[in-house]
Amino acid sequence: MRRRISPFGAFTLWLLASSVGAQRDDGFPDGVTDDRHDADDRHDAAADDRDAAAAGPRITPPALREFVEADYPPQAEAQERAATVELELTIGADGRVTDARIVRPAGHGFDEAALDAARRFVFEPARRDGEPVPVRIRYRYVFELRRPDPEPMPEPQEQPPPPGRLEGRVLAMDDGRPLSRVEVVVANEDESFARRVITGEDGTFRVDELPPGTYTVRVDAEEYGSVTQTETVAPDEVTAVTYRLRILEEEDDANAFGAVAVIDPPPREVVRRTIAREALTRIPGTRGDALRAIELMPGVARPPFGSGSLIIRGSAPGDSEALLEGVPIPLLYHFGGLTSVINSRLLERIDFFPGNFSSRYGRRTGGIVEVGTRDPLSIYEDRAVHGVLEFGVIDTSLLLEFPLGEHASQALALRRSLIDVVFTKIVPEDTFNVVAAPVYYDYQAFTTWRPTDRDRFRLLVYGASDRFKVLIPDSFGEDPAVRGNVDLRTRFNNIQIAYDRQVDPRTELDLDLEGGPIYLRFGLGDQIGFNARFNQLYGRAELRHRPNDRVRLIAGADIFLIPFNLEYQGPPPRQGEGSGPDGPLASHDRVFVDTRGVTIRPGFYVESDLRLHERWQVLLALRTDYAREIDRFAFNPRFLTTFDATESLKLKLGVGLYSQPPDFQESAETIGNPDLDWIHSAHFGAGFDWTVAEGVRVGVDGFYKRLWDRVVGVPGGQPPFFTNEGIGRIYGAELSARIDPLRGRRYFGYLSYTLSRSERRDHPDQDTEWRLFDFDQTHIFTAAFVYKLPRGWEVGGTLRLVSGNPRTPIVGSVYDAVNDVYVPINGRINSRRNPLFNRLDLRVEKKWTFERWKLAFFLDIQNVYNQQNQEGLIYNYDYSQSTPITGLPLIPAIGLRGEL
Amino acid sequence: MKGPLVVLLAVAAGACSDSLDPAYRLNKPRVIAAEASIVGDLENRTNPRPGETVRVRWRLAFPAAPLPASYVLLACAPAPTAFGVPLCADGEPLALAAELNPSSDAPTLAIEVPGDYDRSAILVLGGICMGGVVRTDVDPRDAEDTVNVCEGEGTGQLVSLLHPVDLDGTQTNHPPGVGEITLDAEPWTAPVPDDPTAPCADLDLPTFALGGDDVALRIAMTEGSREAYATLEGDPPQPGMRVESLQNSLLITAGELDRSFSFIEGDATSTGEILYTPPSVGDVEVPAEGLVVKLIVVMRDLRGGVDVASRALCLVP
Repeated sequence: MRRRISPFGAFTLWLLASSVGAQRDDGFPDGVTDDRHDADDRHDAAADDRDAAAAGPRITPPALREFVEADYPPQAEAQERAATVELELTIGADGRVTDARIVRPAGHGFDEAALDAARRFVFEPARRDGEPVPVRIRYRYVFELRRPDPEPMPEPQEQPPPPGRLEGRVLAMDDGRPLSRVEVVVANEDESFARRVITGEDGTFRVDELPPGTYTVRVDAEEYGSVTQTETVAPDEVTAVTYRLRILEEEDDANAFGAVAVIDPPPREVVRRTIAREALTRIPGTRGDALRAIELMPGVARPPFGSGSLIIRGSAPGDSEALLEGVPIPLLYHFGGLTSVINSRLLERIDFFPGNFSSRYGRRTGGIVEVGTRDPLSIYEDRAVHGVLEFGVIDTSLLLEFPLGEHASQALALRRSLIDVVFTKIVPEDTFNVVAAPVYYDYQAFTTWRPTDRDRFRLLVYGASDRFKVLIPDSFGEDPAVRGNVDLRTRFNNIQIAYDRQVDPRTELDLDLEGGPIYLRFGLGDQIGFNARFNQLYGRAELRHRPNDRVRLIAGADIFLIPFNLEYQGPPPRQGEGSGPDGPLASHDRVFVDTRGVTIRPGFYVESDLRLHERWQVLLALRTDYAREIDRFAFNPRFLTTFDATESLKLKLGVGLYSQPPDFQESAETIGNPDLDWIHSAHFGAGFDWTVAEGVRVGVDGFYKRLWDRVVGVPGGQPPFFTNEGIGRIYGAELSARIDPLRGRRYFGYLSYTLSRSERRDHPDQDTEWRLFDFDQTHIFTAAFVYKLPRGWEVGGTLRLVSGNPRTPIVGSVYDAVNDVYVPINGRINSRRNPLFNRLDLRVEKKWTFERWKLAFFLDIQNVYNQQNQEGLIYNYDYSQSTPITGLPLIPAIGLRGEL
Repeated sequence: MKGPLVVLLAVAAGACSDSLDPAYRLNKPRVIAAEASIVGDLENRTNPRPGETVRVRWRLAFPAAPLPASYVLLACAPAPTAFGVPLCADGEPLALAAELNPSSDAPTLAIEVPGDYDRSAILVLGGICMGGVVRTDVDPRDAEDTVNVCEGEGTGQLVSLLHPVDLDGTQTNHPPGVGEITLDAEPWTAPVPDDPTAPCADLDLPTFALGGDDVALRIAMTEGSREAYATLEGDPPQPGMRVESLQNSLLITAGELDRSFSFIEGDATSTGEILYTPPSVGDVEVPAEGLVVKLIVVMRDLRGGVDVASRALCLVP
């Protein structure tokens, strides 16, 4: 094989913007044709199809005049990777590339190399009726390892000189350590002859029977980079060499399979925080679970017991929402925060909008987390299949992805918990009579099909199931009502069909449709029974159009259609927050609900994104929602503006209204009030983002949120049970600093600090006082840092310092002689606070890279110093004694991961 | 909904709260039940009908010798409430009783239910101070700090009883009866001595040594204790019938029980086995002549009927 060596840049050019139409103010032609040129025509692509437009002005597409060869990413080259990067180039009237962006990334350094080269291309400009005009085109930059036809070996001479031998050692430069499993390629000058050997454990290698001559010796050691030397082999002699390699500042590829670029579209939110995939699975304390990394973001409060609740900028968990590809996820975590329900290695990015989010998102007053998945392995990757098998003490998972022909690709993932294997060893036998240990599983089957370069279909089939059942014999603890089977089950199976179309270079259409059943069940003996089935159907259509480079218009509609069937018996629903300790179940009334119906919530939104000036952008939006269950509309105008003070400093300001329907139990007949109104909030946000250096960003954001029409309970739990007589205010500031994982950078990290206060006032007409929100956390400090060491080691730590949650003191009790329990007397709601929470998590990973696969061992330790963080107080039977409830202890998670 | 989470946390917390006194541990004066009886009724009913007078007698329990108690008790129509501390509705109280001087008599309140009473229950609220003088100005709704029921010394407790009223004859109820109690499969009949602080080695009591093995006890009901009663449940409410489940609350002065409550339900006529573990050496000071250990069982039908029984055993070093 002839390895080469210089990258070969073949390309395919599509002309996307070169057609008929009137000249717009920005100078771009209007309208589209879609002409595809063959790769071999690259240097005169413009010569074809010049007569494509039969009528109207004569359009001549641009022709590449000066092609710039990209630097082949060294590591990709060493790994014999090939790739294709799809770019969108804006070519000015002078033929120069004025803008370039990645449309379809390839990762492994290809994207940066392609961008760098493409920006230096020079074109013969596109012309309209002979006049040069700016255009935007798609360009596919192909990186190939040249593999020319093998040339015949020279005929042996009658008396060839006796061969020689090349032997040597490969050592680490820093400590002289022998480097094993290093690839050494010895090739002659014209590369017509090459030998490949692998160093042994002692770092030695040997190539026998080398014809005398001069050879190029290339040594590739993954983490030490590569070195190329010229050596001479003499007849019948041994040429001994020693190569010392220095640790290379290499690109991390531990989790960066596939594309790595995150392309920021024009902002639709004041604050958008993205965790790139390179970091998603490497953050300590998350066990490699990308979605748990959300807790590191500024503005995100620490959920108690690691419950996985999304508590964003002082909003209640139910006020925020997580979406997968724009569609709400029924359940984000298994067992309330243990593990997320989507395989992290299928994720492209996680976008987090703590407030002032786009009109694309509705029916929520808190924040939004949107999870984006990547396309599975395509034919353009240099392998037939990619697989990851991971074993951990908590669960095990398998991921497989492969192309389905030229235009489609498929990913399959499955995870199952292993808790049931170890559960009986953890829980003392005399604690519970275990009927079924906790079991969860999830699956994903993602298919992407791109029939043309403008159409993309995605079929996402995914689901999850959790089940936990214990039998509490007779009675347990100090509440006589807590007995019988505790049965907790959740299950959902969803199908999502997404279709994206590039209607023309300025217009995009997205259609999403998702449906599937959701089952929820909770039972506690005959005291509590909750059975619900929701057949959720969700649809979204969004059209984005850019009439010119300064304006983008967006119009969209989405709808929830949820037929439901719900049975419930148990205590009457209470105000979800701020009601203080409930007291024993035995002292509660019981209510019965058996209802079915259809929840219909359509929403419509429009946005105009105006670039008023090169540095100044304004976004105006309006969202309208309707909730059938309360028969009310909500109108939410939103405004956002950004100003690029310098190239690295962006100022931003946002104001908007946000509305949210009441929870199901709050507006349901029998137990709630169908006459409730929407819950409303106003978001005010301002801040700046400063790019200190490449991949180093600092941001400061201030926010204020005003809440009104909050749903609060009627004192005593009497009809109408709930009213909109609550208000709230939340204000604070967030500081964030992040070092992104970049090629050549051995580390990345996040630092965030949030100072905030979240208050509520229930029934202000009754002269009530402001009180703290249940999860108000004044100070939230998080620092995460990951460092890559030589020889496949990676270490990292996450430190969290967070104010304790408020709590309501219990000042006494009333003996309930009917049930023989004590009803707590609450003091002022949330007038006390738990002590400061502090925790350090560490993660160590060691990776071995073999010729065709990788193996990694990881140890992820949560709460390294076993801090006994107080999450609250637990009381004795009559509330005369108390002791702290502490959070999760030291939890080590060990795992092995194999990757093809 | 919040309920499931609360219950799961309660279960989880219950499993790790060894440092707190369990409900069965009788180590301080306690109010343990309110017994209701209808004045002049020969059928031993518990739930008054309009126009009848119900007498509510509060049962107290002490780890050692009984203490005199003072109290303030008030009966009223309950305000509608689904949870939390019960409150009186607006209007005049139905009855009021106070004993401000500590007395050995059980706190008692007689309530004459008006003939036109239309609520399904009457509410009794009050404070009982055992070993001290009760305060008369306690309002739990205004509590900012610890609620003190006693003036100075004493063990105080706010109490409540939401007692059913048999408006239409469908809620007639009779108290259950504690039947045979067995200890290690043997009938356990030994009553608590008049002076529970006196030596017991010479008394005819079951005797256990400190650090002894677990022993099982079982509580049976008397015949007819579990009555059928009419219910109105479901959405929309449907009339139905249920048979009472009997809740047995357990209290003991020394040693450990494996539960604080045990039920008689289903087809059963007695509880399952309840394990009693004698205290270990060092847990409690036991004189050579023995220490009386009191077991109190409060059987409830959860519809207003209560029966209380007690037994004693002797603990020796």
